[in-house]
Amino acid sequence: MTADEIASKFASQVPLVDEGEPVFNEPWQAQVFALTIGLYDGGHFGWQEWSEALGKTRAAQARTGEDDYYLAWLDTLSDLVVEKGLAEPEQLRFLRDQWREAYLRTPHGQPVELDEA
Amino acid sequence: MSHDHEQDPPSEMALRVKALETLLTQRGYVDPSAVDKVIDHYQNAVGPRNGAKVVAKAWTDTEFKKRLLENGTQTIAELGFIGLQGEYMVAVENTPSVHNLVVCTLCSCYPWSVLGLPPSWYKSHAYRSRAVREPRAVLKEFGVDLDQSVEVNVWDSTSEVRYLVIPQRPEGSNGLSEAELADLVTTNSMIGTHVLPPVSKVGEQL
Repeated sequence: MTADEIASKFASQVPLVDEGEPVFNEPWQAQVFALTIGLYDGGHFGWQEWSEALGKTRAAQARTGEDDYYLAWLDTLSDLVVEKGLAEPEQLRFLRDQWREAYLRTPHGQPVELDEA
Repeated sequence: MSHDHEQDPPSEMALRVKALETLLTQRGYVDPSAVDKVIDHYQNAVGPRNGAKVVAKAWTDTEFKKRLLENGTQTIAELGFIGLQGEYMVAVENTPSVHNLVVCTLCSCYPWSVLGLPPSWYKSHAYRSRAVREPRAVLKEFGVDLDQSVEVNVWDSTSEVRYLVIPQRPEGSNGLSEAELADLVTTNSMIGTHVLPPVSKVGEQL
């Protein structure tokens, strides 16, 4: 599937914004967005299923006054991959910590990479 | 002001996404090149248009340009483009005698608020290591062949200071509106790896 096809496929489903308004404010938002589309495309969940799960996260956010759209996206995807048996919460936390350490030990100007453990 | 120190790790959210990406890629659930493709596609919808608006306004409004060069952060904020991390924006102007090129040594050092997501070449090790050492050779590979008399300034971005290049206004663009001018501005021209070609026939109406 080409990027154009992906775009038209999701045209009515992705958060379209006014012209001139950035779709993503930070790279991680684009990455979590793209990962979601990649998993959907691989048939790991349906879009309806995704929308409902995201809707639930948004609703839970609303109750606490939180309004970060892509944080909701990230929370939803993290839960969904665990629910689908694609990942384990411990493993995700472990890798997150590994990445943090990798950033902390890498001097400015060097590419940040995980140890091949 | 609490600026990020250079070696601070990215936000918790960014780290969590990295963890997801690592695991899902390792296990073969997502194809990293497909992920890149989606990101590339949306890159154009993200931010380069913001930078293009800044540039077009600088071309048409001398007072704005003067303020932009003196205080990039504040002047860019006039258009509503505000950095997320409190970073300073510095605008540098290309002229017939000076060419500016921007590089970063960490992939987060990019003016997201005006340019969106960085192109992949910008994050590449090759670009990052060569842009400072041999800028003219790098520029040539981008198709920018500068006369030896042109001074090349390379700006190394940090987490605190991000640069926006104001490219030279294309020849033949007189009479175009600010919006039409903005459409001519490319992302690479605002990083310094592209020189905008002359405009032909664009100004001729009907």
